[in-house]
Amino acid sequence: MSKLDIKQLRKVYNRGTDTEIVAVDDLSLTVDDGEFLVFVGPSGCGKSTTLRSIAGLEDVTSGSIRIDGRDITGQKPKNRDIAMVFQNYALYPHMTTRENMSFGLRVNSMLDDDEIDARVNEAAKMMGISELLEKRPGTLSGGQQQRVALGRAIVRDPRVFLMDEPLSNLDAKLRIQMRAELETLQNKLGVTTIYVTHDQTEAMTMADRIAVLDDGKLQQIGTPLECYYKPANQFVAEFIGSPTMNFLTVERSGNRLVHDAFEFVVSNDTVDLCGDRTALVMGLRPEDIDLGGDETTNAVSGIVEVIQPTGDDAYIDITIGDDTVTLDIDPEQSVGVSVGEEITVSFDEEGVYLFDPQTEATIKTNTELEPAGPDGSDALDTTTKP
Amino acid sequence: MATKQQYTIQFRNTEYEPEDIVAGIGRVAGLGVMAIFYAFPLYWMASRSVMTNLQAFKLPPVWIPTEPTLSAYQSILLQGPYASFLLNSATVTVLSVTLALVLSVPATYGLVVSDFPYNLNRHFSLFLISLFMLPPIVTSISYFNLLQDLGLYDRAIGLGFIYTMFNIPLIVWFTRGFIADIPDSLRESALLDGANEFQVFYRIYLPLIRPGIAAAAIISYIITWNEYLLALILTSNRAKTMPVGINQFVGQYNITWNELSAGIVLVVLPSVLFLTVTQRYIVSGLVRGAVKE
Repeated sequence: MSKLDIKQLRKVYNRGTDTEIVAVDDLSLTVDDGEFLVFVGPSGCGKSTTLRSIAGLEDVTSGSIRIDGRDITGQKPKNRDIAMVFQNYALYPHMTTRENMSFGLRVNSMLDDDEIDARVNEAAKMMGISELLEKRPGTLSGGQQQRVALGRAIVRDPRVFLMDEPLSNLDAKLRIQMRAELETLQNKLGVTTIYVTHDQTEAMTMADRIAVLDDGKLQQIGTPLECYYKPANQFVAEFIGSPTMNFLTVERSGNRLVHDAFEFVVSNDTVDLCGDRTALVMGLRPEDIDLGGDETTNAVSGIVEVIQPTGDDAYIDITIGDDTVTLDIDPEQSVGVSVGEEITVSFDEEGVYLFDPQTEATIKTNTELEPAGPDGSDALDTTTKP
Repeated sequence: MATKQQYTIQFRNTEYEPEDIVAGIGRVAGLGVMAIFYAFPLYWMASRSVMTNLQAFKLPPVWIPTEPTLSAYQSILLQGPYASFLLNSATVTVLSVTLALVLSVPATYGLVVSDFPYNLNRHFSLFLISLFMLPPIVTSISYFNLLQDLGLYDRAIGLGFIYTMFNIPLIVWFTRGFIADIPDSLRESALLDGANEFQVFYRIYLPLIRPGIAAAAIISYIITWNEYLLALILTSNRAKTMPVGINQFVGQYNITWNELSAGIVLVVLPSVLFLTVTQRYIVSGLVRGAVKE
């Protein structure tokens, strides 16, 4: 049960050489007691480096890391009371499940054998791996290995859990199952958890809050819905959401957003948000675009390129001018659509996002959904960082 | 529909085509010739060792010993200095291989897993390995002086120390690949579990690199056991090892062929037995070090 504070964390590799790489740049954030925070971002964004810095596996260049106010920045990993689950599970191949799970308690605790056994049994029961205790990792399936790795982490009852893409070696079906299990487990144990993934779906589904990183910098930290509906910038808007948001370059002229192939009329509120900017990037979530629409009212026509049915959804790529736009529609609606056909699509102004093409900062977010929080406040109130 | 007639031969539930069989026979024949070529000297030596000296260099040669006798073994083990040569060889080998293992396996772990500034660990590994390329003859005079100054000339322990120096780079070279093959995350996981570096080495790495250590130990054992040059230079009588000692069978006027053969068999036999049992490890050791999976 611990609170983790990261202040101005900076990690530079190959410092002072030609190949200097800033992996983490001035990262500050707080993970609350019992929170499930997910670091998400593309590869090389610094999320794993940050996690490894918290674990003590990397020396930080500057900045500080505190757990419950205690500075652990320069501490050895063993003195941090942190458990980590690795992408490849890192189970000790020559030890049985029981030995794997008890290793940490044996080398670094005062517990006697009976207590260690009791704790291992309890953790194994919780993870449903009691029958596997005497087996070696090599004889276990990927999903079982994953459970053992988690069991090894929880048996130590650490202050903080770190997880580095723990589900990415599992097949798709098992991944979804483990996602739910992990979340349940974290809720039950209430251990402060930091989870790293490049998979935005994992981040969206599991996190209490998401920290989106790119290029070593924190782009946004907020609840999954905040990041989805109120992205701090174009990067977050593009990264969160699947299929990804469509971006169209438009020129504003009065109330009209002019694209190569269409014009879209917006209200005065939106015009106010734009200030004196005329060049804009328009963002459209695939699910906010509907088939059909009257040609006269903010409707756009495009040529169908690809139709991808996924079962409960259908993704349709259409070309509008020089741009390709993806639609996410009901599969029934896609039945009449064929490749090469020209179709009309429409979208509401509420669902239109606008970004500054230079700074990539968000100008307008989705205004349709403003769900109120339990205390009446705006649940989507973003605590955004630049 | 015309089907092509297939001539196949059934053998143990597998069908073979004629060309496969011809190729197979050719391969076996080729290997057989090579095996005879390499094994014949060994056979010749082994067969001479169970003959009397008279039989051993009889002409025309006696191909197969008719009245095998262990007299040659008896005479070299019970008479003369050969038993002590063998003991010296064993002392020197066990001492140097053990010492080299104890020193170099933890060192290799350190060199592989830790981050030294300026890549010093990599440079040092390469330096160690480059010691291989130094012909022993180059340094033998220095070793001679060194051992004499230390009072270790013609002592098994002195020769053992010198061999240790040659075995260290060999073992580092061999175990490096094995240690590097173990994912870093195992070490990191153990460090987070609360182990210190020694515990990580002793409890995680050591059990996992056992095949590599075995391979390294076997190779350095064989090299040390058979070493001739340094043993010749750094010993005179008391610490003389078997490879050097065998020379004594070659006298000025005659060669006791049967005793010479028996001596060679005694030198070769442990290596052959050892290799037969452990060749699996050696192959995996050679391959594992070379290819990073």
